[in-house]
Amino acid sequence: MIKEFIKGIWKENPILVIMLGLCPALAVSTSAMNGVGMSLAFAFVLICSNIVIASIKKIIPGEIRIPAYIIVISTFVTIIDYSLKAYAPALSSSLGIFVPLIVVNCIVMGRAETFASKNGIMASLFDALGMSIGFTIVITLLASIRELLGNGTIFGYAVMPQNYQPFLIMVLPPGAFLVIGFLMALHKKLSRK
Amino acid sequence: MSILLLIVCAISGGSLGIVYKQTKPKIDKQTNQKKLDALQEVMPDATKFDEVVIDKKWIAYKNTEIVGWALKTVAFGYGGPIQIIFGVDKNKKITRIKIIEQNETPGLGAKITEKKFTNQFEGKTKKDAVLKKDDNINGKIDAITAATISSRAVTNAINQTMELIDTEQK
Repeated sequence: MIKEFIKGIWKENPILVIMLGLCPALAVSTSAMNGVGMSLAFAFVLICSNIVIASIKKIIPGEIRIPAYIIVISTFVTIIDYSLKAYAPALSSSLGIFVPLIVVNCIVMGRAETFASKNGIMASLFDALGMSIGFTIVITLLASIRELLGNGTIFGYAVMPQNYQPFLIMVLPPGAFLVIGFLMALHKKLSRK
Repeated sequence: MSILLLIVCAISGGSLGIVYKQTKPKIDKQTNQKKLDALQEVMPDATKFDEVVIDKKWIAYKNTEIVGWALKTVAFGYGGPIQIIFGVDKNKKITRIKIIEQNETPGLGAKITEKKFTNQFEGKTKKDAVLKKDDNINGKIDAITAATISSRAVTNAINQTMELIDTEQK
């Protein structure tokens, strides 16, 4: 169990190693708050869908497993989308289209297909938890670095000196690629030892 | 097999129905509240708003006296529509503007929501509410560096919408 949990954080980190779901990771990581919000929405969907898929895997025949998984995932995505709109409208409007797009997030689909459909409920839960934490750490780190360099703030608080000239490129799409590239390189270097 | 899929769909549909029913009133309230807050923000003196053109023009009252108007407009920016609400007082001067929705480039065009840009509109007449760049005699609004398209879209939309207060005055 512990192994399933730990692997998502470091050895099989969904973003840095598996490199799935890069689109939302790059797109919403313009501010640390967005990163955290996106991670929470993502974690909810991944955990719920992994549990449900692990528990229905025996009654769903192989031929229709993909449509069935997509329905399960999209149900949870729609639930979180409505809930965000109702209870956290500001966050919902800043994440915009990327919440509904979790439906097609490759990590969720990938975990359903490669893990939840082959393992038990508890193992799938731990797998989803680990993956979510791995996703959260990376996206929050990525978003904080971009927000810090590109806007001089972290979680909206100004941390850079007044006369700091922000690197605009960091909050624009190219900045996302630059930062994630460095993060991946760092991850590689640290895991080689 | 198809029956199984049908069951999965039915369960999913059913649970979504419940969630929708639970959240719908809340979502509507949030949207409405957001609009009311925005109206109050652009016309801080007003106590009551009377919607004369649906989703476009409100008459602002302070008790029973008319103090001005609130107008909503949509500008076409660099990243899609920008929704703006702004207030105009009885002397046809802008009180405040508020960007309620925008999708401009973060760090560049998105700066239209910052006070540094929006405060420039305070107390401006229709003639003044033009970018300095576009009319260097009357224009009083500084465009945001590297975001002329967004600044111009907002400024022009406000300028044009101010005509609404002249049509059918009261």
